Amino acid sequence: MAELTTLDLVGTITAALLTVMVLSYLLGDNLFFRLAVYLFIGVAAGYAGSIAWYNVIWPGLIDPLVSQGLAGILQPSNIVTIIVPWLLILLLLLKVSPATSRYGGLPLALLVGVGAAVVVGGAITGTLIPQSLAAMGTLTPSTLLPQAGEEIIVWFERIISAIILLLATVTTLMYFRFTARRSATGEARRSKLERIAAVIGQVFIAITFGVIYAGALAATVVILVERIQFLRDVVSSLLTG
Amino acid sequence: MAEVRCPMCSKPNPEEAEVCGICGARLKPLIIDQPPQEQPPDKSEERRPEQGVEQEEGLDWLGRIRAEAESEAPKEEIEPEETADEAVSPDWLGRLREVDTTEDEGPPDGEVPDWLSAFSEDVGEVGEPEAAEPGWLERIREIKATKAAEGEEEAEPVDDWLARLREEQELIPEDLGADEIIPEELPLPAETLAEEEVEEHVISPIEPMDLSLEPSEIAPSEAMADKEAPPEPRDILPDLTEAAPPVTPSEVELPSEVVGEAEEAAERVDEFETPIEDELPHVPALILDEGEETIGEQPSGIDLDSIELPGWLSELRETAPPEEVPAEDTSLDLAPATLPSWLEAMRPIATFRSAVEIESVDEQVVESAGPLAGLQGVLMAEPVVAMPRAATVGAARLEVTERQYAQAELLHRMVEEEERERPAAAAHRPRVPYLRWAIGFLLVIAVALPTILSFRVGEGFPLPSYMPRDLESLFKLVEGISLERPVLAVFDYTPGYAGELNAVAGPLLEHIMLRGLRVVTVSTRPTGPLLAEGLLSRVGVNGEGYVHLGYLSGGPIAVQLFAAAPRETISRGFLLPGDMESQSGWQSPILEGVSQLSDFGLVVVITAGTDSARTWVEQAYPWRGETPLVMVLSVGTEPMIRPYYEALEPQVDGILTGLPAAVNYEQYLGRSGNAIARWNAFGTGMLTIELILLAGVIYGAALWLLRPRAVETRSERDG
Repeated sequence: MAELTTLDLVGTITAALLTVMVLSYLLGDNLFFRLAVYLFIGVAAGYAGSIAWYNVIWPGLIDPLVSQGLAGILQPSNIVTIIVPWLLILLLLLKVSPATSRYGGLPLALLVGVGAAVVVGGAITGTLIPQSLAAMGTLTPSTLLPQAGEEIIVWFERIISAIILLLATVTTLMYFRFTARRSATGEARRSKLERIAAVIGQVFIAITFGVIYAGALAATVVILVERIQFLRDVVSSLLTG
Repeated sequence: MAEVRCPMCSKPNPEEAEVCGICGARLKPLIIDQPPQEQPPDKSEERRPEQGVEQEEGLDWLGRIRAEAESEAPKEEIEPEETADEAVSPDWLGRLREVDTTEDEGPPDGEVPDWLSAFSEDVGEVGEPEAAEPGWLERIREIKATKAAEGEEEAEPVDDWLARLREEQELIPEDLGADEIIPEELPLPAETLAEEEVEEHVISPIEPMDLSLEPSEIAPSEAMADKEAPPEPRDILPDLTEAAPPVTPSEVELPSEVVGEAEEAAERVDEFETPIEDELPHVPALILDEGEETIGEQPSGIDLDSIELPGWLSELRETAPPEEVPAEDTSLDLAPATLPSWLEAMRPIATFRSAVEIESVDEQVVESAGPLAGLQGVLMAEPVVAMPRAATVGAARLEVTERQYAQAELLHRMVEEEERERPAAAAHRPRVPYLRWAIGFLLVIAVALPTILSFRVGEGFPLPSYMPRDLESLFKLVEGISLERPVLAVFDYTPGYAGELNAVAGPLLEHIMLRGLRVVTVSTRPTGPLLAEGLLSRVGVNGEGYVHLGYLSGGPIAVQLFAAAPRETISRGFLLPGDMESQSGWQSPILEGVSQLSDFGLVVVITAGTDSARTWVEQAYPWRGETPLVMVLSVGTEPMIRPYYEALEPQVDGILTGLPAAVNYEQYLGRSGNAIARWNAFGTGMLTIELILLAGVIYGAALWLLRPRAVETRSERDG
């Protein structure tokens, strides 16, 4: 128990020192800040490697070979789960040599193709269509009409929200519409309505980024507070013994 | 309009031009046959000014031919010397002895030399038979006609003087070939000659002047070959005169025509020697060293070997005999008499006329410019041509636009700047970031003071009293989850956001744990499981209240696979309890009955990134069924995820973000956690930030308000 306490104490003091070293960047780039950053990068990489080994490589690739042996590997049920992954891994390792790198294209194409299909498919089915339906749903009569027993102020608020939502969606999309007619002088210029809508959309975009920035700032303050509290606790624990 | 091409630059010039308008070279060669004031202008040259050019060119080819013939000349010239030594006349004289005197004048058919027959053919082809008659015959014919008009006809035929000539042939000096004394044209039939009305062109390849080795026939090649002792034209004439006494008309008793011709030739020689030198123009020396008057001596300071000579001249120098050839021998090795017939036939018409005056050796200048610099007796090059000068005709003027000029200037400046040596830059003194220090220290002090002073809850900033609707619905959602189904908590954030997200997600997870719900953790980031352990260990016991499935590698694909088949995606766990180290996390009683995503009672995604949150929304949506999805987000991520929550058919059922929401949740739980403990510090920090932003806005507005006035004031002062 005493050893654990000492280990915790050393870890806490080290964490406090590293925190101070990182905060020293406030005075400018210095050796302590760089030392802390290098240490974090190295520790994070080593930790990620160990996690990948113990959570992915060993249980997924090595352990089946060791536990089931050659006879178990050659079973039809293990071909897809063991043989194929190993084959793809070996092909991907051929990327190391320029002479054999073209054989590594198969697993790479599989990764890129499947990844892109998953992301695009998820974006369409999970974001584009639902969000479009949600935007269009704000104008449905059931949404705009007052509900039974609903207060007028609440209904009015919902109407205002629907209008703002619709206006923000349309104007933001109009801002990102970069097609325009070419005038006689050769200048591509959008119509006046489009320009006004784009300006309104720009305002909404600015508000959104402002909110994101404010949120990031608030999150940073929370993190700073947590670090200051940590330092206070360490100092108080050291002082009180 | 006929044009004359310049021999130097080949540019066309008007016919009457004497000097090339391009390069200044002389177009009409100077004629030294007669003094300019006595000799009538050559009509042929007037008609064909380019003939002078041809003559010059003819000299060139003649020089080359002679140079080539020199290698063969000894064979051919030895014979007449030998015959002279043996006092044997040439073949044609021998044949003349056999000719019957009753026969017609001239050699019999078939006895015409090859060169003459070839020449005759050439003349016939040219169609100008009158041009084939030599000048001296013309003058003889004129004298004869004059005498005939005066009634003084010659009693003796031509054969008579030939007969006497046979008798007197022994008087011919041995060192002088007969063919060099008496022209071969003599045997030409008198009738044929009488029929030819030759007036101007003299096309005989061997003229009397040739016997005297006309200076113009001293080719540069020969001069080069004999540069040790070059034949000096001025000396050659006296030598010939001395060598020719036996054949003077007075001694040989030549016919009166020949005597008259000889006298005329002698007069012409005299005229050539004295008045022509004074009257004909000569080429002044460009650079004349007075101490170098002899031709054979190499001018000091000029190494001929180092001079790059033309190919033909270099060959001549190589083939030239190194021995010094006496002047007499040179006079005897006259190339015109030894030219083969085929070569004679190729000889251009009227190319033997000297076009320019060749000065005496003493007066010959040393070429000082051009490839022949240092040589003496070379073909004259007009000083205007030889002198380096600027082109009289301007080159094509380069028209440069302003833009091109500007670019050229720019390039010039760039090159100059590159060449310019830059002074060593002074050590840049780092600018002290006073503003950053001020803001940083303000924030640290604002955050540290409430923390260090340990304000009690409610002493500093009051806790929020308003409960957001989102939090209320989330609380109700957690309260409604069945205890039979575990909760899946996804820790998709890095340790950097732990300070915020641990404080925000802590109350929610505590609420879940307090309700007795089991928690299963997973993470798509390697550090996620460790963060999950650090957070959940405060409120629960590993293996009993929660279990870690660990790291889920593969990004969106892994999320989709996990949503479709969780057990096949993750085969092991993380920090499993001691009795489960050798087993899989799925063997934990917490995950009993869970085979797919919809088997979880609640999915909580704790993330600080928009992409991670959207990935879980998009990929897990088709497989999660009725399982609600709750997002615990960083404050900066909320605006991008809230549309999924605000939709009529929300894809996110609950959202918890920011420290205020966490404080509200703790208040709703009736517990004081980390969120409330950090509330005062968070409040002072945000207040400080707002003040700093406000100060920045005021400063910017002041600058914006003051700057136009300063500009206007400055413009008013200037203007």
